[in-house]
Amino acid sequence: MTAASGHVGDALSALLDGELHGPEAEAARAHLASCAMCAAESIAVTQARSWLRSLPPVEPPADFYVRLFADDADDANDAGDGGDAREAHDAPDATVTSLVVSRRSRVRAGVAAMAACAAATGVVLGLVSPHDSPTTPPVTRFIEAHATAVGDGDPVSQLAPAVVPVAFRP
Amino acid sequence: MAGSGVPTWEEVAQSHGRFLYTVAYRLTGNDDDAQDLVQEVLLRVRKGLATYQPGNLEGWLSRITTNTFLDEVRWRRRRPSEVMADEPDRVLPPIEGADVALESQVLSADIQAALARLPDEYRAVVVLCDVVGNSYEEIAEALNIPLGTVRSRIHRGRAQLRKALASGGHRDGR
Repeated sequence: MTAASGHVGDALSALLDGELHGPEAEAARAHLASCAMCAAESIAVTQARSWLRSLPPVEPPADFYVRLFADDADDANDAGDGGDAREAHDAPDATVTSLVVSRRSRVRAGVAAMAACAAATGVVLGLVSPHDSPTTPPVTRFIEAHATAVGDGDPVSQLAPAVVPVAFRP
Repeated sequence: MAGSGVPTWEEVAQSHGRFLYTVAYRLTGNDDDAQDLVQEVLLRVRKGLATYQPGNLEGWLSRITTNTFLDEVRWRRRRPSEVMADEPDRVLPPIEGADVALESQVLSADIQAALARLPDEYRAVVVLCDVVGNSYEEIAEALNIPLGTVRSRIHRGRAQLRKALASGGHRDGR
């Protein structure tokens, strides 16, 4: 009951929610039984309460988790590099948050992904570049050098024995 | 899950992603801000897990989510270039839409629209109470406000929401 108006007022929702106890609750119930205005307000607030409680869980979009973990990996990398303004900004007791910075993080992750794609493309192009000649290892020279160093190689070929026998399929 | 019963932040994200997104969406009213809010919350969760005592995980998460949301609201209020947030006592205009008499069946989208029009401080306590299911005492503790303030904000929030829906009817929604 509010002293000023004599009506239940803000205590009405508390009464509906079972958050009003003792003499205060008894007084509110008694008033409701005799006050048409408070009774009407009780019906209205009960309806609003019912609507709010009927709201279903909201399904996140399909890429929600992908973004979540991608962003976090990006943040972790930043932290590994010594951190940035955002890392200090997000301390548990911080009183200021920046959702704008979060959006920037997404953009940053996107830019990083694009850069990675560009780098990968460059590597592929580099491998097939006509300017690069094929590399042929000087195998014979390696074998001869090894035989010379070991000294007790095969008497016919004067080559060192293979450490791991090579098996051929019939 | 670690042996101490404290989950990793990845486990929290996987197992409570939908819960976090739901609370964030009810608070912010749109997908983009909800995702940003969840991201901010998980950053705080990751730091806070070191001191987290196993218990009511959803209560802890909703507390972080709501406080992160209100921090953002206050930050925006301090910036002159940002759109000023609603004043707690302003009168809500009716929701635009078909002029349909208020019936018992109001669509979720209409409720969400009316919720989004509540002053931020009202919306925070209403979400904690009616969406999350916290008690008044839990809300008072979570937001560090007096119990009487929780009581009045919940009641006025519901009354304003009901009035907004009654004034504007309802439209198609989810």
